[in-house]
Amino acid sequence: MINFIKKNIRVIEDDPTLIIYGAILCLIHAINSFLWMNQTTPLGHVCWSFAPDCKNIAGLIVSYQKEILLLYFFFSVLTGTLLLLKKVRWGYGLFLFLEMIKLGYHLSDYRHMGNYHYMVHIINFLFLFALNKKNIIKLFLVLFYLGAGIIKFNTDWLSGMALLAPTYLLGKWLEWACVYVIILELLFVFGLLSNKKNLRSLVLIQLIAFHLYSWHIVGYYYPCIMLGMISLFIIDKDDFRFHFDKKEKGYIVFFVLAQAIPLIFSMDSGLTGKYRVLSLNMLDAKSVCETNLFLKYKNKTIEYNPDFLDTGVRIQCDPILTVNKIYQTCEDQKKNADFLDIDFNHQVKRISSAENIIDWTYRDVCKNKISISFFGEVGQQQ
Amino acid sequence: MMIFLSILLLGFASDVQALYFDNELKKCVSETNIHTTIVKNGGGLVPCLEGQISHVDFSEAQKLKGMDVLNLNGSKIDSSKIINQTINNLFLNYSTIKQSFIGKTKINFFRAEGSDFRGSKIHRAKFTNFSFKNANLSGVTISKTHFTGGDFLGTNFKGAMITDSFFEDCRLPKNFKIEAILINVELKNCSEL
Repeated sequence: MINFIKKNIRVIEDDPTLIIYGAILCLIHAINSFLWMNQTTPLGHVCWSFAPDCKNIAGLIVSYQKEILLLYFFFSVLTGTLLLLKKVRWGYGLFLFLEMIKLGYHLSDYRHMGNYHYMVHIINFLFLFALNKKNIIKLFLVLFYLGAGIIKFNTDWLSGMALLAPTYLLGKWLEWACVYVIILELLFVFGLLSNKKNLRSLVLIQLIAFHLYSWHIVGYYYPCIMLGMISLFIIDKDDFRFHFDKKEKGYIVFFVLAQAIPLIFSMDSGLTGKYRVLSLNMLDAKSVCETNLFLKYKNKTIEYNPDFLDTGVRIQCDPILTVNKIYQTCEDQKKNADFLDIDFNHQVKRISSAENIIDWTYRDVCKNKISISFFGEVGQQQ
Repeated sequence: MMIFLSILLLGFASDVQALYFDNELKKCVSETNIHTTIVKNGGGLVPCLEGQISHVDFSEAQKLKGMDVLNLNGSKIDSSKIINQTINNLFLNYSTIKQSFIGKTKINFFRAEGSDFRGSKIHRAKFTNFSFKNANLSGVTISKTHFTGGDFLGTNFKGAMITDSFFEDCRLPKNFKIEAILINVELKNCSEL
């Protein structure tokens, strides 16, 4: 393992392009710290499906949130500077530390989820632990676009309804633009791996234009992150070569499988949240939902309709949030001597379709706890 | 246009329908009845308004944002909306603000003593240094709202439904937990007197 790390450090030391790219990845960390500092997370915690008992660790992170994020920012700047000064050993070690801060903070609350973190984690991981760094990062960047293009193949995206905010283009223009994005991501994007410089530049210009255009819809963070990551195609003049060792091939297979599983096993993972914990979920659906909790007391029943409109658009109907709310409400109502139990109903559908409404109804969810598996499958314990 | 609007507001016309304020009105306005109004840029509108205003939509009132004093003491602002505002010193003492909606609004130094909020909704608001003393909040729906530092003494919470909200450093009435329906409500340093 130590030898492998040493080899990785040497690869970066020997390549000025990787040193600059490492500094750009540090800049992405700095922008990330800024994003989290300015984000107000609603009360409570929501644990990831694979770590249902996160409450204590999450509580600790929340108590020192400001300090952690300041530290994160400080080390982002320091690591970037060390890399540019060619102090690669220190830079590498601190980069690993930075990634651990990012991962820890990200996993402390499910509401921090987002592709812009998912993709950056992968690129950071490859920067640290792949020997053929430039080629594998380039391939993964193309795979990100490809994965995003595949999941955009739905009525929400094609109708333009999946967009988070109003855009300059309207009507048919918007629909054509959405189709163009899919073609860009599914086909043209392979031009980035071409040995012809002109073709690479042509695709790169389109991608840059796409991200700059998206700024007024998705805000500053997403375009900054994407432009930072694809900057490798600008700073690196070498041609792409598909030549990877076993470990790197393993990374590629794992990533492809992670994208394929939700597509194979769940027709609508954008609505059900099933199997998408390890995959991209970039605007795969704009879901609308209604959640009803019927709180039963000895002498009355009260309907409570929690909403998650203050969280990210992609998770507002996510069962992880709903199930977490059920746990929280059961715990909260235990104090009330008249409280009996809760019946629960959740309906979710795509914004662009009145059909295919997914409906979950469970009775007495405090006594017979609702469970959620690693892959996001919801069930009730009897 | 400005002069015309000022004349209307100064009471020459008692009932003004569908009035749009696109400009800042700096004059003190009192004893005025304004109904069905959309206040667009009326920042200087009401330093001493004590009339009746109802169905007022403050949601587009850009000048309310960050304004220092909005004195609506004794007003009737039923069926109104205050959305997406940041206000310092909002005075609503002995007013009625029934069937209204306060949403996504931050208010520092809020006074609503003896006011009637029946049937109103408060959603994703933030009140700091507030007083709801002797106010009637019965049947009010409050969700995702933070109350920090203030008084609810004598406030009527009968049938109020409060969800996903946070009360900190406050004084609550004795029967608060019995009268109000509380779901996922957190109380921190609040006394029940």
